[in-house]
Amino acid sequence: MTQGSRYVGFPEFFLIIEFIMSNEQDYSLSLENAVTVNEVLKKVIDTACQIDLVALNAVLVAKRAGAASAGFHVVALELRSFGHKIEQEMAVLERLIHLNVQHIAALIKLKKNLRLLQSAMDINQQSSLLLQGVYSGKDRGYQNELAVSLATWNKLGAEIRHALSLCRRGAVLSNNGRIEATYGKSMLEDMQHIVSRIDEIMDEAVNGLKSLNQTLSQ
Amino acid sequence: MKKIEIIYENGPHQWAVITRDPEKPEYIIDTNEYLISSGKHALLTDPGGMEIFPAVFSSISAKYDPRNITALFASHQDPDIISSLALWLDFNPDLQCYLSWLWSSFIPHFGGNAQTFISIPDEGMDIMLDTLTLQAVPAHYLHSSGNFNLYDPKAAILFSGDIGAALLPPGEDSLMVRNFDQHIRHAEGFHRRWMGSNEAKLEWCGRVSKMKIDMMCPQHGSIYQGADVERFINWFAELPVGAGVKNSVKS
Repeated sequence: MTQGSRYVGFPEFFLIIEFIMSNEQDYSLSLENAVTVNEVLKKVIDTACQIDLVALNAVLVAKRAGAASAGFHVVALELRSFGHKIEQEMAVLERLIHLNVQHIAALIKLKKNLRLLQSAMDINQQSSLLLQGVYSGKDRGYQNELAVSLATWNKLGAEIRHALSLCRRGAVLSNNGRIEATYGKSMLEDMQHIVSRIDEIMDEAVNGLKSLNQTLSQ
Repeated sequence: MKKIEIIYENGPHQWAVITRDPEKPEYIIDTNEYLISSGKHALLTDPGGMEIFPAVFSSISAKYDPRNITALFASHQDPDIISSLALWLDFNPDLQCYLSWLWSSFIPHFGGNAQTFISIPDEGMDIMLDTLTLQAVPAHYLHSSGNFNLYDPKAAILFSGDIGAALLPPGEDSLMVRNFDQHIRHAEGFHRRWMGSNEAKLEWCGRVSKMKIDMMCPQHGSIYQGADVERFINWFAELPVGAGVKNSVKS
């Protein structure tokens, strides 16, 4: 994988979020779409959370390499700190995704109630008059839930942007690690392996996002 | 938020329980839904009522792709069992629902069409889930007149529906039964009142005592494991049922 291809993924991620935000009214009403976004983000979360373990390996390798890898050691410690931050960020994303799906499922339930009431009201004028109040009350509940759902959706978008800025830092760290690994002497191979693994993790995340982009474009 | 917890795992063959919703209103009984997955397919037992659909669906989505759920199993016809059916079908119109033939023309009041339902005959049947064979085990009159358990011989797990259910007070609601004698006090009233036939009860006890069961998973309350499964069967066999009303109705 080239460094260039890694960076291609991040603007795409932004485009996806922009798409979601600009179509939020329609998008928020589909449980299928919510599940699709949820599945892709779950994969991104799983993948991103592997960074912490790889960063721990980087610290251990740097320690074994001794003085020859002072620079790599600094990068490894930064990666470790980055890994913790990513994990925290992913926990926030996980909670928001869960809330998002829950709100949309609740919307679907309320919409079904409204549809049934509307069907009854359509039968004759008397039904319509009798059920109008019930319908209005239910519709207010629906609108309230919709507002909460959209707010959660917006928050999810904001948190994804935050996660992206963190990922950008990870990409820079990975690049720095690749440079410092060249001073690794006998541990060169191990260090390069670690940096490659970090690249792979980011690549996997980007591939997931590309598939989401395709789904949204259909 | 309901929790989702894996209780059995052997490669792609898994059982997960969706349970214990701290945000659930007190007036709604807590339920356990079980998601059995084999490869890319999953079956959900007693998916629950319409009101709890958002909680169940979002909890499943946290760990599994709900698009892989291809079948529902309804142990009987009660609203806490299957009144969410229409919402599940909105999400996936191709879902199939296994249930007793007795209820096959009643449950469509919750939703579905002729293609949705697979009627289980009184004697039970095998249910294929990917490469896994599950067994619908008769449990009629316990408590419904058309009632089934679902047995997974490979995992040695029996989904027992309302049999083994307990109405647990806060603080005594662990996922697994920890102390059988303490736990069963919370199951006794339920079984005395809800279970209608001593004859059916003894027939069920005889049937399941011949099965290898490592876990017995009810739709409410805690899961029985190991020796507690046999303890429950023996306790249930001795319990007079269909008489709970005597304790609650004053002359």
